[in-house]
Amino acid sequence: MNHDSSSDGHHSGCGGYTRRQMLRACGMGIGGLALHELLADGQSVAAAVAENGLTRNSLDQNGPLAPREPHFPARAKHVIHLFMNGGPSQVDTFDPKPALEKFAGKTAPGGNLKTERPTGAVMPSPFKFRPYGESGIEVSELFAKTAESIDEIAVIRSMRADVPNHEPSLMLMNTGESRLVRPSMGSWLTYGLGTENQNLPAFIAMCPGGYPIKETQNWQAGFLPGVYQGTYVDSSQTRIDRLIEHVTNDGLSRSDQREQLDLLAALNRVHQEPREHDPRLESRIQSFELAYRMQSEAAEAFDVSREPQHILDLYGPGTQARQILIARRLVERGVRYVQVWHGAGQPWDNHDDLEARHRALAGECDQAIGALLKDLKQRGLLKDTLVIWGGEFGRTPVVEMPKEGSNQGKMNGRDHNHHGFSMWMAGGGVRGGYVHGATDELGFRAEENRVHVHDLHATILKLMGFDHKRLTFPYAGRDFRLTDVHGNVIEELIA
Amino acid sequence: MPTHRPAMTLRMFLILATLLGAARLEPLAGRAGAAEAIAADRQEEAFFESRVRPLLVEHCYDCHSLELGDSSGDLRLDDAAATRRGGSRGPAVVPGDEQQSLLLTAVKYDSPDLQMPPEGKLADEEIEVLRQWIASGAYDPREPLEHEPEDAEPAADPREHWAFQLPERTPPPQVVADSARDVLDAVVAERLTEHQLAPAEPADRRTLVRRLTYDLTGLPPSEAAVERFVASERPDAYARLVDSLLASPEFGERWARHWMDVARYADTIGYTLAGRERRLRGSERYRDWLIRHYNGDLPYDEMIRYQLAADRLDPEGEQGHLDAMGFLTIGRRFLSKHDTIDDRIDVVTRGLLGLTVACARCHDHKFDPVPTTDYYALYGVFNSSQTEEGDDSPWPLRMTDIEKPQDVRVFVRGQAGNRGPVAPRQFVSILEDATPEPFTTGSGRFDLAMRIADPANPLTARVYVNRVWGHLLGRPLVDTPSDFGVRTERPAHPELLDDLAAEFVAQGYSTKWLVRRIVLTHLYQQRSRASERQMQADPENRLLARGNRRRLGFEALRDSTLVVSGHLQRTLGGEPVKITEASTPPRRTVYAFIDRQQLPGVFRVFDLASPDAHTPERHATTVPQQALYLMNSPFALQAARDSAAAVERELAASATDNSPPSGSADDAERFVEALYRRVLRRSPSDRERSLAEAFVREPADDFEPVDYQSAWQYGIATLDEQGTVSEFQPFPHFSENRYAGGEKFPHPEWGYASLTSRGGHPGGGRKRAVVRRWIAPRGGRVEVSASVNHPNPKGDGVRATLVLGEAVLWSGVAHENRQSSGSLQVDVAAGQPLDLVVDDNGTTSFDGFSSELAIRLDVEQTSYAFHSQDDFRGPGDRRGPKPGLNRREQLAQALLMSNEFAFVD
Repeated sequence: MNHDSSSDGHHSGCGGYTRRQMLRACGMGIGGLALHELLADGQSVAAAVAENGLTRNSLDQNGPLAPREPHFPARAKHVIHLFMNGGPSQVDTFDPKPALEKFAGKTAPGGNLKTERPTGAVMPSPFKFRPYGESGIEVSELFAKTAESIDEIAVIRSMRADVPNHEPSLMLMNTGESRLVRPSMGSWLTYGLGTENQNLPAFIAMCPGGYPIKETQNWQAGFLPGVYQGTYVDSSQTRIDRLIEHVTNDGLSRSDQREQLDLLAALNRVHQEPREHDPRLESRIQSFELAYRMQSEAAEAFDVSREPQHILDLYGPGTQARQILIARRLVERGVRYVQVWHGAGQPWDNHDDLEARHRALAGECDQAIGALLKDLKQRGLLKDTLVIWGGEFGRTPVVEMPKEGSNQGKMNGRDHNHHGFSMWMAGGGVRGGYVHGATDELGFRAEENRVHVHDLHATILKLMGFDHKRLTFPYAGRDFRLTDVHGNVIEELIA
Repeated sequence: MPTHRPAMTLRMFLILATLLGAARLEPLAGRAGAAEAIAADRQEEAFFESRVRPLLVEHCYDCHSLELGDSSGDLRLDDAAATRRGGSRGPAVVPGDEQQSLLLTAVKYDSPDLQMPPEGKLADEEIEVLRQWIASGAYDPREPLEHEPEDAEPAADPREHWAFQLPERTPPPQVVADSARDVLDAVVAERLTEHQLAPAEPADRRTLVRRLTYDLTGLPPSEAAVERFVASERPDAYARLVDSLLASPEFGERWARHWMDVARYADTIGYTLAGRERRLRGSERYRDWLIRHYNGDLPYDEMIRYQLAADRLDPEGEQGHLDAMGFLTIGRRFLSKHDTIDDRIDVVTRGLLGLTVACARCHDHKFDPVPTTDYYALYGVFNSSQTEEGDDSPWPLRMTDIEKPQDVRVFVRGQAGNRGPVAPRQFVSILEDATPEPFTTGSGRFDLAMRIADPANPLTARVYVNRVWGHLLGRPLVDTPSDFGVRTERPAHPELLDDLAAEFVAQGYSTKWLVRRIVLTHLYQQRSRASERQMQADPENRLLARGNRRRLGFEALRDSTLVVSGHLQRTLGGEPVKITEASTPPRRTVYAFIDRQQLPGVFRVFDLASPDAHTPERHATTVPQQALYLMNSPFALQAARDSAAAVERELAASATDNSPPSGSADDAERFVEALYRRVLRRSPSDRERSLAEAFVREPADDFEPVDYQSAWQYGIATLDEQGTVSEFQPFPHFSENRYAGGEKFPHPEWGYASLTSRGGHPGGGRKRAVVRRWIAPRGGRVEVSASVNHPNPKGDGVRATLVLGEAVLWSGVAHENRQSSGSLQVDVAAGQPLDLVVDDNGTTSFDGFSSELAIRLDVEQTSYAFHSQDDFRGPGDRRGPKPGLNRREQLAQALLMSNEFAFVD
């Protein structure tokens, strides 16, 4: 519902008031008082909403994407979340377990933990691990290129989630809640921070060839305004009009459109003149100018052919390389949150033929991920950009038993595993060359310094400048937050 | 993580303990000397610190500790006293008594009602640690922790909360302002005087008719209706207009859509496993039921009763009321039954009562007097109800009672495996005078409906009246329309809400009566322009000293555009239509197909109600994506063409012999006048007229949209040694997504020569090289990259050649590998062909290949990206683009984008 509250920014009339009084006196519409000015001393929007009685509607009207300061100085300004959907196996990637060889083909000494499907004997990793970098952290050959930047990376080997099923685990990883509809982390962060480039969507979710399972719920805004929802991009497409809706015009030449918008602005000014004190009129006028610029800027941002050959060569061929390179171009242009999904459905879900499939999947993305880390670093962007890698859970160190209708006749894959798995983060204030936590001898269950998904979220928010307990939104009678009633910041992960 | 947690893991401890001799961990019998006692104490301490505390920290503190901010079931396990005191069910630990220690009962998972931790049973050795600890006296050195400071306000009796009192009529004030037309106007005017404010003037008639028509029907008034009202001198002209709008069928469409926000309406059930059918069968019947009964003015109390319990009131569906049960059944079907029920509890309690009962799912409500037993009382009601399954039910939205309705136990902390006391099915306790009576009719849904729709219920009418007020005035009286709990302050004018609510009930819950009364007030009719004085005294307009300017919601904006373009279909009801598809019928937006799992971007961008949960109030954001839709979407462009065409037809129809010739300067003047009247229902001012006429007098650029698909041709040609391409012949046949020589494949003449979106196969010899030809639609700078992949180790591979006119840009032989041209830059003239030629490189065996050709054409500031895969189409699928907009159409689009069109004063 639209509210007619407003002010044309009579700063002078508000002199000498406290913030709260000023807001009361000058109105919550606050046209001339840009929200980021109001929050210049580092107060978050959420805090302003809570403490100053700023209304939801004033947020809506004030440019919900205007850049804003978080609770305290941020270590990271942007996020690239590389989502290995389906669940990569930790013991084949970032969590070496020599004991698997020892017990190969035998029953796991501690017994098998309950996962989604029946499992059997210990299955050693078919991949070779070796130490990388000064930190000497061991990584498997699957991510050899990524591992070249291991000294920038904090590997979390003690991740845990709640259940061994894709749907709830995807929701938990993305929204902090397995079942109910809640805003995604990208939505929370764009709500909290706005965005630095109004000519591009603030939160972009790329997935080539279709949706991951749970589809658009993975980047949903829930009860937050729709503008905070991730914009989905099918990164298998190359043409801009298939990447971003309505960003090209098939009816007017660019110069005619410019003249048309000039006329529109002139007519809107005539309309505006007797209607002072309504900031919404002005912001709608501005939105057409932003849209006009977005047309060229978005096309340019998604066009990797504008990269020099040596950069294209660094990332390599294929869809993964292109979308990961696009991710870099987007954060470079100020996009707040980019989620890069490996592919439609659940590509990393290798219940069988794990060796061949994991090799192929890592082969598609390792070079590009390695390139991303180096590229961000050489551009000075890595310090501001938090790169997150991982799936919704990991996989069992024991073999999955064959089952009619799924992996019939095969005993060469691993089941889902939420008891323990690995993720890593790099850049954006993360302590590089560091391993956090550990799983048990076989890599089944997180044992030391366990990190629940809520703890990961709390830590990510901290890196982005937020106290996860104070980034809230009032809805249905209470203040909601990404971590609900959970979450501890893992300080050791922060440099 | 808590800092006091020992570094040693349990596993390490067990290994150590085994090495050191676990016998020492057995309970100690009796007491000997002091030294032994001290030693025993130390052993107990060591045992507690290294074995017991880590278990508690790891498995219990998440939900039962102060530090993590939670004490589920009122139980804390983070200090000794709290642990012994226990929670709502009794002591967690009774030293030495395994049977009475609920902690042990819970971790053993023996009792179906009490199983902890919820994420899974502890390992046997861990349970044994706890058993030993309790058996040996439960040594526990943990100091009492401070209690959390209470941040709640002094606990006034929640029963005294204003919203829980029955609303009463308001007596008129002693002094009644001249402008007052209703007791409400008088009340507000009196309060304004206290603030040195006065009610605003009424809006002018043109504004008023537009405001009223939008508010009641969601559509703009016709030009004739505007002129009629403006010209009318009858004193009752306004009231007559109100009555005619209330009687129009569009009223039901507008007000049904408002209710659909409350009811989280969608046409699909949400996410399904393994691609199961998602269509929510019969969803549109609920929407149509609402439209029908808003139009028929079915009393609101009856609407409530049918929506919750039509299975009892119209069991055979003879009156069609079973469709009303969509209110309950139209929500997202969650993968878990508990969450589906939760959604239904939420829509009923927030939607109808303005109570956030769903907050009490895991613990008693933090602020409101709603205990978990209230939540599970309603849970029991819906758990004892079932929905129709199967495709052949004549009443797909119906909900019925199961045969043996029963109460459920409270799920402690919302965990289904953790059962608390029985919660009898009954009404929300704060709304009952005495101890609530258990529901007696089947599941209790009927009793619930009766309690909500009871005139003695203080919330139901208030909540509804507040919503209606918000839709009409642009802002509800109570800012949180679905939360009237104790933290919600009394509105600035409590009399308005109470008087309307009380009389609404007295008037038999008639929505049309309510709407009529509100729009006849002076309050509704005030002008929206704010004076300096008003801006200073009441910038937010809480005191209602003026009207509120409002932006059209997406439905009204889109519907208005269709009205202007002359195409809006007025049929009521029916199957939903996918409004984002190209050839969608021009129906009102209330009939849009709403896929809650894949909500079209435009719905999100324009702040439509989320179909995932009850929406108390829509957001109203302004973002460039909205502008992009109005500037660039096929819908907006077509509306511009249609609107201009309608104006031209109108002018042609009224033309006389003396009319200026079409296209002349005088004709432009007539066009601008007629277009303004069509789009904005008024004549342009002089200033606007001169801007618009100057605009349409300029010629439009010669603009032909780029047709990506038609830029490509597929055929065979001869490639000579110099790289010249000649004798290009298009493929005569297309089937199974493949261009080839004929239906028969391989073809007797063309052989294997063929092209698909991702590659193809050359024919034999240099005369049958396959050619993917791109013809430059404009002159400009081209950046091109080609690649050909021939994975097969057999044969001799294929040769790829990239040719622009006479020039070979690149050539390579792919054999068991991929050859790529890299990025090449070259200038092209319009109409010049660029060919990717693939020949057999000698022999045609094993010559299947894949290829990609990406071309970026830069023309002045604009880039056009072509791609061999994206643009690939069969000959029948190529649809030419529509022509560009002429200047008049561009003007029409500008008016449709204008603030005046999008806002209502």
